Amino acid sequence: MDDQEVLCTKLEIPRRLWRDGRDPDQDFSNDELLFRWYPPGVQIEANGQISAAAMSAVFRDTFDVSVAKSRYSEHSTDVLYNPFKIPHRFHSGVLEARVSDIRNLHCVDSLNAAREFDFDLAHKPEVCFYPHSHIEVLENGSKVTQKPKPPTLRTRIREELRRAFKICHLPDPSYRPPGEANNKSS
Amino acid sequence: MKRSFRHTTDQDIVRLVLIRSLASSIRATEVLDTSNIPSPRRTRQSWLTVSGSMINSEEIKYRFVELYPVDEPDADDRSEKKLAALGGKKGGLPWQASDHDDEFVSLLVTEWLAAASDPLERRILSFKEWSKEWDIDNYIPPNDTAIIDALGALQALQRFAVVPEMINPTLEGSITFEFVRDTRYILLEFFNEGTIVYLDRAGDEEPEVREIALEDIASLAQELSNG
Repeated sequence: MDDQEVLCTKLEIPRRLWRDGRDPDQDFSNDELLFRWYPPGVQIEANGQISAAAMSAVFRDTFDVSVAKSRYSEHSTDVLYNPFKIPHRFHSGVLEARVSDIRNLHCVDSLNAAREFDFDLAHKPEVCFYPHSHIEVLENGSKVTQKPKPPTLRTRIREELRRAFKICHLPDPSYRPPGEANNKSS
Repeated sequence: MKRSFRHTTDQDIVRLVLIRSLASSIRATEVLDTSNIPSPRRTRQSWLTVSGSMINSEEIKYRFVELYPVDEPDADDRSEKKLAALGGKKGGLPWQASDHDDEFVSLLVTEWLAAASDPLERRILSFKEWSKEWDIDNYIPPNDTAIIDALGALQALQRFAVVPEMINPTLEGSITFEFVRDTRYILLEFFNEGTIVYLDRAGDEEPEVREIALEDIASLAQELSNG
Protein backbone atom coordinates (compact mmCIF):
# COMPACT_ATOMS: atom_id res chain seq x y z
CA MET A 1 0.00 0.00 0.00
CA ASP A 2 1.65 3.29 -1.10
CA ASP A 3 1.52 6.61 0.72
CA GLN A 4 -1.35 7.86 -1.40
CA GLU A 5 -3.41 4.78 -0.71
CA VAL A 6 -2.75 4.97 3.01
CA LEU A 7 -3.67 8.66 3.16
CA CYS A 8 -6.69 8.63 0.86
CA THR A 9 -8.08 5.42 2.36
CA LYS A 10 -7.77 6.97 5.80
CA LEU A 11 -9.58 10.04 4.51
CA GLU A 12 -12.34 7.82 3.08
CA ILE A 13 -12.15 9.43 -0.35
CA PRO A 14 -13.26 7.34 -3.34
CA ARG A 15 -10.43 6.05 -5.51
CA ARG A 16 -11.77 7.72 -8.66
CA LEU A 17 -10.86 11.08 -7.09
CA TRP A 18 -7.28 10.17 -6.18
CA ARG A 19 -4.47 11.63 -8.23
CA ASP A 20 -3.00 8.19 -9.01
CA GLY A 21 0.04 9.62 -10.76
CA ARG A 22 -1.94 11.66 -13.25
CA ASP A 23 -0.40 14.90 -14.52
CA PRO A 24 -2.26 18.21 -14.18
CA ASP A 25 -4.60 18.89 -17.07
CA GLN A 26 -4.50 22.59 -17.88
CA ASP A 27 -7.03 22.27 -20.65
CA PHE A 28 -10.26 23.94 -19.50
CA SER A 29 -12.96 23.85 -22.14
CA ASN A 30 -15.34 26.79 -22.22
CA ASP A 31 -18.38 24.70 -21.40
CA GLU A 32 -16.69 22.94 -18.49
CA LEU A 33 -18.07 23.59 -15.02
CA LEU A 34 -16.28 24.51 -11.82
CA PHE A 35 -17.72 23.49 -8.47
CA ARG A 36 -17.18 25.29 -5.18
CA TRP A 37 -18.56 24.38 -1.75
CA TYR A 38 -20.03 26.70 0.88
CA PRO A 39 -21.05 25.97 4.48
CA PRO A 40 -24.72 25.72 5.42
CA GLY A 41 -24.62 28.77 7.67
CA VAL A 42 -23.91 31.16 4.82
CA GLN A 43 -26.89 33.15 3.56
CA ILE A 44 -25.99 32.29 0.02
CA GLU A 45 -28.61 33.77 -2.26
CA ALA A 46 -31.24 36.51 -2.37
CA ASN A 47 -33.41 37.32 -5.37
CA GLY A 48 -31.03 35.57 -7.71
CA GLN A 49 -27.86 37.20 -6.37
CA ILE A 50 -25.16 34.97 -4.90
CA SER A 51 -23.52 36.30 -1.75
CA ALA A 52 -20.03 37.73 -2.00
CA ALA A 53 -19.23 35.62 1.07
CA ALA A 54 -19.15 32.57 -1.20
CA MET A 55 -16.00 34.10 -2.72
CA SER A 56 -14.62 35.05 0.64
CA ALA A 57 -11.35 33.11 0.43
CA VAL A 58 -10.05 34.94 -2.61
CA PHE A 59 -7.39 36.84 -0.72
CA ARG A 60 -7.00 34.62 2.33
CA ASP A 61 -3.54 33.18 1.77
CA THR A 62 -3.15 31.58 -1.60
CA PHE A 63 -4.87 34.42 -3.49
CA ASP A 64 -6.69 31.77 -5.49
CA VAL A 65 -10.22 30.46 -5.36
CA SER A 66 -10.42 26.69 -4.91
CA VAL A 67 -12.82 24.86 -7.20
CA ALA A 68 -13.28 21.35 -8.57
CA LYS A 69 -12.92 20.69 -12.29
CA SER A 70 -16.03 19.01 -13.63
CA ARG A 71 -14.10 16.90 -16.17
CA TYR A 72 -12.76 14.85 -13.29
CA SER A 73 -15.81 15.03 -11.05
CA GLU A 74 -18.49 12.40 -11.37
CA HIS A 75 -20.90 14.50 -9.34
CA SER A 76 -20.99 18.18 -8.50
CA THR A 77 -21.00 17.14 -4.84
CA ASP A 78 -17.58 15.49 -5.16
CA VAL A 79 -16.25 18.87 -4.09
CA LEU A 80 -17.70 18.18 -0.65
CA TYR A 81 -14.92 15.67 0.04
CA ASN A 82 -12.27 17.29 2.22
CA PRO A 83 -8.89 16.19 0.79
CA PHE A 84 -7.05 16.97 4.02
CA LYS A 85 -9.13 15.69 6.91
CA ILE A 86 -12.38 14.15 7.93
CA PRO A 87 -15.25 14.69 8.47
CA HIS A 88 -16.17 15.68 4.95
CA ARG A 89 -18.49 18.56 4.11
CA PHE A 90 -21.46 16.53 2.96
CA HIS A 91 -23.90 18.83 4.74
CA SER A 92 -22.64 21.85 2.76
CA GLY A 93 -23.89 23.42 -0.45
CA VAL A 94 -22.30 23.62 -3.89
CA LEU A 95 -22.05 26.48 -6.39
CA GLU A 96 -21.12 26.12 -10.03
CA ALA A 97 -19.64 28.43 -12.65
CA ARG A 98 -18.94 27.89 -16.32
CA VAL A 99 -15.32 28.24 -17.42
CA SER A 100 -16.26 30.68 -20.19
CA ASP A 101 -18.07 32.90 -17.68
CA ILE A 102 -15.00 33.06 -15.45
CA ARG A 103 -12.73 33.88 -18.36
CA ASN A 104 -15.07 36.63 -19.55
CA LEU A 105 -14.93 38.47 -16.22
CA HIS A 106 -13.04 41.72 -16.18
CA CYS A 107 -12.82 44.65 -13.79
CA VAL A 108 -10.73 47.70 -13.07
CA ASP A 109 -9.70 49.40 -9.85
CA SER A 110 -12.20 52.19 -9.26
CA LEU A 111 -9.37 54.39 -7.99
CA ASN A 112 -6.89 53.57 -10.74
CA ALA A 113 -8.26 52.52 -14.11
CA ALA A 114 -4.79 51.41 -15.21
CA ARG A 115 -5.11 48.42 -12.90
CA GLU A 116 -7.11 45.85 -14.83
CA PHE A 117 -8.08 42.45 -13.50
CA ASP A 118 -8.90 39.23 -15.33
CA PHE A 119 -9.36 35.65 -14.25
CA ASP A 120 -7.90 32.36 -15.41
CA LEU A 121 -7.84 28.75 -14.33
CA ALA A 122 -5.16 26.34 -13.19
CA HIS A 123 -5.49 22.64 -12.44
CA LYS A 124 -3.82 21.98 -9.07
CA PRO A 125 -4.42 18.32 -8.23
CA GLU A 126 -4.24 17.19 -4.61
CA VAL A 127 -3.05 13.70 -3.71
CA CYS A 128 -6.52 12.59 -2.73
CA PHE A 129 -8.51 15.01 -4.89
CA TYR A 130 -7.44 15.17 -8.50
CA PRO A 131 -10.15 17.65 -9.66
CA HIS A 132 -8.82 20.43 -7.42
CA SER A 133 -8.24 23.65 -9.37
CA HIS A 134 -7.77 27.34 -8.78
CA ILE A 135 -9.36 30.42 -10.24
CA GLU A 136 -6.42 32.78 -10.49
CA VAL A 137 -6.69 36.55 -10.28
CA LEU A 138 -4.53 38.37 -12.82
CA GLU A 139 -3.57 42.04 -12.60
CA ASN A 140 -2.61 43.40 -16.02
CA GLY A 141 -1.85 39.84 -17.06
CA SER A 142 0.29 38.87 -14.05
CA LYS A 143 -0.92 36.54 -11.31
CA VAL A 144 -1.80 38.38 -8.12
CA THR A 145 0.37 37.09 -5.30
CA GLN A 146 -0.18 39.72 -2.63
CA LYS A 147 -3.37 40.94 -1.03
CA PRO A 148 -4.56 43.79 -3.28
CA LYS A 149 -4.92 47.19 -1.69
CA PRO A 150 -6.99 49.19 -0.98
CA PRO A 151 -9.90 47.17 0.50
CA THR A 152 -12.25 48.62 -2.13
CA LEU A 153 -10.33 46.64 -4.72
CA ARG A 154 -10.74 43.36 -2.86
CA THR A 155 -14.47 43.98 -2.61
CA ARG A 156 -14.60 44.81 -6.32
CA ILE A 157 -12.76 41.66 -7.43
CA ARG A 158 -14.91 39.45 -5.23
CA GLU A 159 -18.00 41.14 -6.66
CA GLU A 160 -16.91 40.24 -10.17
CA LEU A 161 -16.37 36.58 -9.30
CA ARG A 162 -19.63 36.30 -7.39
CA ARG A 163 -21.65 37.04 -10.49
CA ALA A 164 -20.33 34.02 -12.37
CA PHE A 165 -21.66 31.49 -9.85
CA LYS A 166 -25.05 29.94 -9.23
CA ILE A 167 -26.34 27.35 -6.79
CA CYS A 168 -26.34 23.75 -7.95
CA HIS A 169 -26.77 21.91 -4.64
CA LEU A 170 -28.34 23.26 -1.45
CA PRO A 171 -27.00 22.32 1.99
CA ASP A 172 -28.66 19.18 3.29
CA PRO A 173 -27.78 17.74 6.71
CA SER A 174 -28.73 14.23 5.58
CA TYR A 175 -26.96 14.29 2.20
CA ARG A 176 -24.41 11.62 1.23
CA PRO A 177 -22.70 11.62 -2.19
CA PRO A 178 -23.85 8.83 -4.52
CA GLY A 179 -22.14 5.57 -3.61
CA GLU A 180 -20.50 7.15 -0.59
CA ALA A 181 -21.42 4.23 1.65
CA ASN A 182 -19.48 1.79 -0.58
CA ASN A 183 -16.71 3.89 -1.98
CA LYS A 184 -14.04 3.57 0.67
CA SER A 185 -10.99 2.99 -1.56
CA SER A 186 -13.16 0.96 -3.92
CA MET B 1 -40.67 61.72 20.07
CA LYS B 2 -42.65 59.83 22.66
CA ARG B 3 -40.45 58.91 25.59
CA SER B 4 -40.82 56.37 28.33
CA PHE B 5 -38.68 56.17 31.43
CA ARG B 6 -37.08 53.13 32.99
CA HIS B 7 -34.02 52.01 34.90
CA THR B 8 -30.79 51.29 33.11
CA THR B 9 -30.09 47.68 32.22
CA ASP B 10 -26.84 45.93 31.34
CA GLN B 11 -28.01 45.85 27.76
CA ASP B 12 -28.27 49.63 27.73
CA ILE B 13 -24.64 49.87 28.71
CA VAL B 14 -23.37 47.74 25.89
CA ARG B 15 -25.63 49.54 23.50
CA LEU B 16 -24.02 52.77 24.53
CA VAL B 17 -20.70 51.53 23.24
CA LEU B 18 -22.26 51.33 19.83
CA ILE B 19 -23.77 54.71 20.32
CA ARG B 20 -20.28 56.06 20.84
CA SER B 21 -19.19 54.81 17.45
CA LEU B 22 -22.43 55.93 15.91
CA ALA B 23 -22.50 59.39 17.41
CA SER B 24 -22.65 61.27 14.14
CA SER B 25 -25.36 59.23 12.53
CA ILE B 26 -27.30 59.16 15.75
CA ARG B 27 -27.41 62.91 15.79
CA ALA B 28 -28.41 62.92 12.16
CA THR B 29 -31.28 60.54 12.72
CA GLU B 30 -32.33 61.70 16.16
CA VAL B 31 -31.88 58.25 17.56
CA LEU B 32 -30.17 59.82 20.51
CA ASP B 33 -30.88 63.21 21.91
CA THR B 34 -27.29 64.33 22.23
CA SER B 35 -27.91 67.95 21.45
CA ASN B 36 -26.69 68.94 24.85
CA ILE B 37 -24.95 66.09 26.60
CA PRO B 38 -23.65 67.64 29.79
CA SER B 39 -20.91 66.22 31.91
CA PRO B 40 -22.38 64.16 34.74
CA ARG B 41 -20.17 66.22 36.99
CA ARG B 42 -22.16 69.29 36.09
CA THR B 43 -25.58 67.73 36.14
CA ARG B 44 -27.27 64.50 37.00
CA GLN B 45 -30.02 65.16 34.58
CA SER B 46 -28.40 64.14 31.33
CA TRP B 47 -30.79 61.79 29.69
CA LEU B 48 -30.07 59.66 26.73
CA THR B 49 -32.50 57.94 24.44
CA VAL B 50 -31.70 54.31 23.88
CA SER B 51 -34.04 52.01 22.02
CA GLY B 52 -36.87 54.47 22.42
CA SER B 53 -36.46 54.81 26.16
CA MET B 54 -34.83 57.48 28.27
CA ILE B 55 -32.04 56.46 30.58
CA ASN B 56 -29.96 58.48 32.95
CA SER B 57 -26.30 58.82 32.05
CA GLU B 58 -25.26 59.15 35.66
CA GLU B 59 -26.96 55.89 36.50
CA ILE B 60 -25.24 54.27 33.54
CA LYS B 61 -21.90 55.36 34.84
CA TYR B 62 -22.39 53.81 38.24
CA ARG B 63 -23.90 50.64 36.82
CA PHE B 64 -20.92 50.40 34.52
CA VAL B 65 -18.51 50.55 37.43
CA GLU B 66 -20.47 47.86 39.23
CA LEU B 67 -20.23 45.62 36.21
CA TYR B 68 -16.58 46.23 35.46
CA PRO B 69 -14.86 46.98 38.76
CA VAL B 70 -11.14 47.53 39.01
CA ASP B 71 -8.97 47.53 42.10
CA GLU B 72 -8.85 51.14 43.05
CA PRO B 73 -8.80 52.59 46.54
CA ASP B 74 -11.97 54.16 47.71
CA ALA B 75 -12.13 57.86 47.25
CA ASP B 76 -14.69 60.55 47.18
CA ASP B 77 -15.71 59.64 43.70
CA ARG B 78 -14.88 55.98 43.12
CA SER B 79 -16.64 55.79 39.82
CA GLU B 80 -14.56 58.55 38.32
CA LYS B 81 -11.32 56.87 39.35
CA LYS B 82 -12.44 53.53 38.07
CA LEU B 83 -13.46 54.95 34.77
CA ALA B 84 -10.12 56.69 34.52
CA ALA B 85 -8.34 53.43 35.31
CA LEU B 86 -10.15 51.79 32.43
CA GLY B 87 -8.93 54.44 30.07
CA GLY B 88 -11.86 56.77 30.43
CA LYS B 89 -11.65 60.48 30.68
CA LYS B 90 -12.27 61.89 34.10
CA GLY B 91 -15.67 63.43 34.13
CA GLY B 92 -16.58 61.77 30.88
CA LEU B 93 -19.40 59.47 30.03
CA PRO B 94 -18.91 55.70 30.23
CA TRP B 95 -18.46 55.04 26.54
CA GLN B 96 -15.36 57.17 26.52
CA ALA B 97 -13.81 54.56 28.75
CA SER B 98 -13.77 52.10 25.90
CA ASP B 99 -11.52 54.12 23.62
CA HIS B 100 -8.38 52.24 22.61
CA ASP B 101 -9.10 49.42 25.02
CA ASP B 102 -9.42 46.22 23.04
CA GLU B 103 -9.96 44.04 26.06
CA PHE B 104 -12.74 46.25 27.24
CA VAL B 105 -14.43 46.25 23.86
CA SER B 106 -14.11 42.49 23.65
CA LEU B 107 -15.78 42.21 27.02
CA LEU B 108 -18.58 44.43 25.85
CA VAL B 109 -19.07 42.34 22.73
CA THR B 110 -19.42 39.31 24.96
CA GLU B 111 -21.89 41.18 27.11
CA TRP B 112 -23.75 42.25 24.04
CA LEU B 113 -24.04 38.68 22.86
CA ALA B 114 -25.48 37.66 26.20
CA ALA B 115 -27.98 40.49 26.08
CA ALA B 116 -28.81 40.54 22.39
CA SER B 117 -32.28 39.37 21.53
CA ASP B 118 -32.31 40.51 17.92
CA PRO B 119 -31.52 37.46 15.76
CA LEU B 120 -29.48 39.56 13.35
CA GLU B 121 -27.37 40.92 16.18
CA ARG B 122 -26.84 37.40 17.44
CA ARG B 123 -25.85 36.26 13.98
CA ILE B 124 -23.21 38.99 13.67
CA LEU B 125 -21.88 38.26 17.14
CA SER B 126 -21.58 34.57 16.32
CA PHE B 127 -19.18 35.09 13.41
CA LYS B 128 -16.09 34.85 15.59
CA GLU B 129 -16.85 31.18 16.06
CA TRP B 130 -17.38 30.38 12.42
CA SER B 131 -14.09 28.54 11.98
CA LYS B 132 -16.11 25.44 12.79
CA GLU B 133 -18.68 26.38 10.20
CA TRP B 134 -16.11 26.88 7.46
CA ASP B 135 -14.05 23.91 8.63
CA ILE B 136 -10.95 25.79 7.58
CA ASP B 137 -8.04 26.16 9.96
CA ASN B 138 -6.86 29.61 8.98
CA TYR B 139 -10.20 31.34 9.11
CA ILE B 140 -9.67 35.00 9.98
CA PRO B 141 -12.75 35.89 11.99
CA PRO B 142 -14.19 39.37 12.10
CA ASN B 143 -12.60 41.21 15.01
CA ASP B 144 -14.33 43.52 17.47
CA THR B 145 -13.88 46.52 15.18
CA ALA B 146 -15.71 44.81 12.32
CA ILE B 147 -18.38 43.45 14.65
CA ILE B 148 -19.07 46.76 16.35
CA ASP B 149 -19.16 48.59 13.01
CA ALA B 150 -21.57 45.98 11.65
CA LEU B 151 -23.77 46.16 14.75
CA GLY B 152 -23.77 49.94 14.54
CA ALA B 153 -24.72 49.85 10.89
CA LEU B 154 -27.46 47.33 11.62
CA GLN B 155 -28.95 49.68 14.18
CA ALA B 156 -28.84 52.57 11.73
CA LEU B 157 -30.54 50.43 9.08
CA GLN B 158 -33.17 49.10 11.45
CA ARG B 159 -34.16 52.62 12.41
CA PHE B 160 -35.49 52.85 8.86
CA ALA B 161 -36.85 49.30 8.86
CA VAL B 162 -34.17 48.29 6.37
CA VAL B 163 -32.79 44.78 6.74
CA PRO B 164 -29.98 43.29 4.63
CA GLU B 165 -31.07 40.25 2.66
CA MET B 166 -27.76 38.53 3.47
CA ILE B 167 -25.36 38.97 6.39
CA ASN B 168 -22.22 36.85 6.31
CA PRO B 169 -18.61 36.73 7.49
CA THR B 170 -15.81 36.31 5.01
CA LEU B 171 -12.84 34.03 5.58
CA GLU B 172 -10.47 36.98 5.54
CA GLY B 173 -11.58 39.25 8.35
CA SER B 174 -14.70 41.12 7.32
CA ILE B 175 -18.49 41.06 7.51
CA THR B 176 -20.75 41.62 4.53
CA PHE B 177 -24.25 43.08 4.38
CA GLU B 178 -25.94 42.58 1.01
CA PHE B 179 -29.13 44.18 -0.29
CA VAL B 180 -30.99 43.24 -3.45
CA ARG B 181 -33.60 45.63 -4.86
CA ASP B 182 -34.83 44.36 -8.23
CA THR B 183 -31.73 44.59 -10.42
CA ARG B 184 -29.83 46.75 -7.94
CA TYR B 185 -27.29 45.03 -5.69
CA ILE B 186 -25.65 46.81 -2.77
CA LEU B 187 -22.90 45.50 -0.54
CA LEU B 188 -21.44 46.90 2.66
CA GLU B 189 -18.24 45.25 3.83
CA PHE B 190 -16.90 45.88 7.33
CA PHE B 191 -13.19 45.10 7.51
CA ASN B 192 -11.17 44.28 10.60
CA GLU B 193 -8.97 47.26 9.82
CA GLY B 194 -11.94 49.57 10.41
CA THR B 195 -12.58 50.31 6.76
CA ILE B 196 -16.14 50.08 5.47
CA VAL B 197 -16.59 49.57 1.73
CA TYR B 198 -19.77 50.38 -0.17
CA LEU B 199 -20.50 48.74 -3.53
CA ASP B 200 -23.58 49.63 -5.56
CA ARG B 201 -24.36 47.89 -8.84
CA ALA B 202 -27.36 48.42 -11.10
CA GLY B 203 -27.84 45.42 -13.37
CA ASP B 204 -24.76 44.82 -15.51
CA GLU B 205 -23.44 48.36 -15.21
CA GLU B 206 -20.04 49.11 -13.76
CA PRO B 207 -20.51 49.26 -9.97
CA GLU B 208 -19.74 52.23 -7.80
CA VAL B 209 -17.18 51.19 -5.18
CA ARG B 210 -15.87 53.45 -2.43
CA GLU B 211 -15.20 53.68 1.26
CA ILE B 212 -18.10 54.86 3.37
CA ALA B 213 -18.21 56.31 6.87
CA LEU B 214 -20.38 54.65 9.48
CA GLU B 215 -22.34 57.84 9.95
CA ASP B 216 -23.31 57.83 6.25
CA ILE B 217 -25.06 54.49 6.54
CA ALA B 218 -28.12 56.20 8.01
CA SER B 219 -28.47 58.13 4.75
CA LEU B 220 -28.19 54.91 2.80
CA ALA B 221 -30.82 53.33 5.03
CA GLN B 222 -33.15 56.25 4.42
CA GLU B 223 -32.67 55.92 0.68
CA LEU B 224 -33.33 52.18 0.76
CA SER B 225 -36.40 52.61 2.93
CA ASN B 226 -37.85 54.95 0.31
CA GLY B 227 -37.66 52.16 -2.21
